[in-house]
Amino acid sequence: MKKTLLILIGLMLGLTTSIALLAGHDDREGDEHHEYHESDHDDDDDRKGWLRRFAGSNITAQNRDRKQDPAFGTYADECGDCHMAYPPDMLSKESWSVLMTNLEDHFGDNAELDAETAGKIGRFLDRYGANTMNGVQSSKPARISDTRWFRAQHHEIPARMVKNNPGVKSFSRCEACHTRAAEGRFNEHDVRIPGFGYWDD
Amino acid sequence: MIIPFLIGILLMTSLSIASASDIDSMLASYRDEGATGFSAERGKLLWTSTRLIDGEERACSSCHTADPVARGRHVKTGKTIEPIAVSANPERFTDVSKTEKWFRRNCKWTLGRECTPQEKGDLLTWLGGQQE
Repeated sequence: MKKTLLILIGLMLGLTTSIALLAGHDDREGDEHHEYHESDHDDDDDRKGWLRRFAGSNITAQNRDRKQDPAFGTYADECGDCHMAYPPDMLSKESWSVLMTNLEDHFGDNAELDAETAGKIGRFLDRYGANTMNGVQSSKPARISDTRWFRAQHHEIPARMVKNNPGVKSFSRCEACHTRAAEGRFNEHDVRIPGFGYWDD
Repeated sequence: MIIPFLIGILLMTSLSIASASDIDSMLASYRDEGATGFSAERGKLLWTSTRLIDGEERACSSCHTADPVARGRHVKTGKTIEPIAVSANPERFTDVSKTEKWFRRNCKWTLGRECTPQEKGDLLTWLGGQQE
């Protein structure tokens, strides 16, 4: 009986230590934005996702919600025709709103939609876009790649790996390097840069 | 025993009729808007011609390549674009509103204006008949 109790205590201590260690690892790895996107997926086997759920986060639940939203298919089809349908919480609601009123000049391309479809997508983005209050955004840049968190995450990547890399060409192509981007996973461990391979910073 | 087979044949026939008639119905509506005598040759010429818009050389082939049966690549985002010719991609031009949406966007980007019903009909005639 005493033995069982000791084993249980040992297990509890071990578990607490590993949680503390993993949390510490999180902090060392990067800023708030890094953590935010590490958690932006719903894969059950990811230790940080698990930790976050353990801590009661609802980011994973939001990710699931938006995929079940009746407008998700429209968003995925219309925006996904030309580029990856980016996770809406990569940009603030205000940024999305500005972007949706200017589709005729969509970063130099014409992406205009009929009013009904544009309205549907606009409301979807307003439901799932990032709040400016949550620390992810503090202004309203037009491009995801101009946001502070994006720059903080990619400032070490030289132009030869993206812009001048025929296998990538642009930061707009998340999926070119983030092999699990389609699942909403942007974890650094899943990065393979065409022509360069693994990325480890 | 033979009934499911017959149903299958009927379904397949009606599907292929639906696909084929979409270009025809679009051509008919362009005629209603004043277009006459569509020409694959003129469509091809429009497809391959380059224009200077906003300081950029632009053509349909900027993204779709000069060969419509080939896979294209979006000139800005680099995303793969499936072949535009019906012979290589039977899903093309099977949805009128989708076709019109892309004509509106891409004509404005490539020509700096919307295409006329005549131009759209010429393009569809060429891309619909393009052999692989």
